[in-house]
Amino acid sequence: MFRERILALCLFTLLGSMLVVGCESPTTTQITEISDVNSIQDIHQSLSITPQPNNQLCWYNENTFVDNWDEFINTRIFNDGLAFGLVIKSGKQIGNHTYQITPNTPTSLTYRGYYHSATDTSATLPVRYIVLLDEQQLTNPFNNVDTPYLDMIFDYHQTETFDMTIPPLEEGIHELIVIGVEQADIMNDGRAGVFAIRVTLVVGNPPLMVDRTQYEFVQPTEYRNRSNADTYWSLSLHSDQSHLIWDYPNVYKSVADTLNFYMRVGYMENAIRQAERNITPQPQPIALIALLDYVQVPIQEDKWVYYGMLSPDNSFTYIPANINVSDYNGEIELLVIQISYPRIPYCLLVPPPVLGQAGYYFFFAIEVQRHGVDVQN
Amino acid sequence: MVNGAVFAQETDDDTDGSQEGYVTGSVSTSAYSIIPIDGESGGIQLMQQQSYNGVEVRAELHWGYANICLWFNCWMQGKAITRYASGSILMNLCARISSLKRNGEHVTNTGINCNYFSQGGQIDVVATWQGDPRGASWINQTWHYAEPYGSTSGWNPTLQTSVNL
Repeated sequence: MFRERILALCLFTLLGSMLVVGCESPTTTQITEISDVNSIQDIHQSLSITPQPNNQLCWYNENTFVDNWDEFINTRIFNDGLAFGLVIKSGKQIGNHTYQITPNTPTSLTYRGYYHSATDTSATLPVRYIVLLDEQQLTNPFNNVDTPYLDMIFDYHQTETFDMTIPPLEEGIHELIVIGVEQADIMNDGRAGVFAIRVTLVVGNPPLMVDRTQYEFVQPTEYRNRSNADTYWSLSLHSDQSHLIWDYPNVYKSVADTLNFYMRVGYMENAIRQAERNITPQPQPIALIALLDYVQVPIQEDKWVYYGMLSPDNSFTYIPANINVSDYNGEIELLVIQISYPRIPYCLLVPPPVLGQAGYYFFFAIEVQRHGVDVQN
Repeated sequence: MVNGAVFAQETDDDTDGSQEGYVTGSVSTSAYSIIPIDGESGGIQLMQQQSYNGVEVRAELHWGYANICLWFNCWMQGKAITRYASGSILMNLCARISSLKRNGEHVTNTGINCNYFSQGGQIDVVATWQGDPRGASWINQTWHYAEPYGSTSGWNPTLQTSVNL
C-alpha cells in the first residue's frame, strides 16, 4: 500500500505544482519537492510507514533479482518473437527496472535480444532502435555508431547484443527508454511491432524531485461517466477529431510544409481495480514525443515534448500536433510515443511479487503509433 | 459471413441453450505475429498450440446478434489472454486489448491487466462494444507482456484477430 501512497503523493505534488506554475512567469524554472521532504528515507518517515530495508526506494530481494536470461531463452518459455532485455553494467539494481547510478559518470549498458520462430528456422527480424533519456532522444547513444538510431537484424536462435553509453548524469531520478521498431511495412492503422523497455536511473542519493513546470491540464473532449466507464482510449492518431484513424484506409497521409494531426489520448487507469485496493484515482501524467524517420522533432511548433496531465474523468481528448516538414520530401515515417508517468520510478508503477498482496499496476506501457506521411513540397 | 475464421459457431437451435434466431460466434488466434500478416479482415493465422511449457497468448473475438437488436443482445467482444502453462520462473504476465476496431475506427481498448505467476496461471481482459456487429469489419489487436521478474527483460507479442460479419 505504501507504494500507492508514495505515487499518489508524487502525483498530488505534480498537480499542485501545475497550479502554482500557472501564476508564475513562463520562463521560471521550478523544481518541485515534496514539502519538507528531502530524501527517500524522509518520505517513508513522513508517511509513517516502515522504510524498505537499507533505506531503499524499492522493494528488493536479492534472491529475486537475478539474471535469469539464459533460463528464459533456453527453456523456450515463449513461442515466437523477440525476447529482449537490458544489462546495466555500471549500475546497481535496487528494484524492479530500477538502478542506482554513480553521478557524473558515463553509464554503460548492453541490450540483448533473442529471436525465436517456431515455424521458420531461417527467419530473421530487422529492428531499428532509438534511445530516450528523460523524454529526449539521445543523438549518439550507440557505441561505434554515428546515427541516432541503430539497425539490428536478429537471426534465428541467436542472442544478439549491442552496447550503449549514456552520458554522465547529474544527481536525480532519470528515465531511460530503449525502443525497437520492427522494420516492416507501415500499416494504415498505426500498429507496429514495438519492443520497448524502460528503466529508472537513480543517480546519487537524490531527493524525490520532479520538474513538472511544463505540464498542462488536458481538457477532456469526452468526460468519463457511467455509460462509458469501461471504454478506454489509448494513443491513436487522427487527421481530424473523429474516430477514423489517420487517413484510413490510406497508409500515407499527404501533406505539405506542415504535418497537422491529432493525438487522441485518454485516462488509462482502471477505477474498479483501484477501488479494490483503496487507491484514490490520481491524474495520469503523460509525455508525447514525435519522430520523423527516427529523429525527434518538435511535436507542436517549438515544443519538443508535449507534457500533459489526464484527469480521472478524461475519457478521451484530441491533442493537436503540428510538425514542420518543409525540409522533407517524399514518403517518410512518423512515430508518436506516449510515456505515462515519465520519471516516476518504475518500481512504484509495478507492484512487487509479494504473495497474498495483489498490488496495483499503473499504466506502465510505452505506447507507439507508426504512420506514413507523403510530403509533397 | 465469417471470413477466415479459425472456428465459429452459429447457433439457432435449442439444444445448446441459445435462443431461436440468436447467433453467436467467435474467432481466435494465438499464432504470434509481430506485425499481423494482414491489415484487413481475414488476416487470421491458424491457431497454434505450444507443445512445451511456457507462455501462450491469444486474441479472440466473440459476438452475438439477434433478428432484432436491443440493448442487451447485440454485441462484439474482444479478448486478450496471456497464459503461463507451467514453469519454474516467477513471471509477471500482462494482457491488454490495444484496439478493438470497427471498419477502421477505434471502438475501445483496455488498460493493462497483470499478475504474477510462478506455477502457471492466466491473465485476461475483455472489451465489449454494444450494438449490432453485422455489416462491419472487426479487428481485435492485443498486447501481451511476459517478464521473468527481476531480470529487466521480457517478451511482448502483439496479436490480431479479425472477422467480417
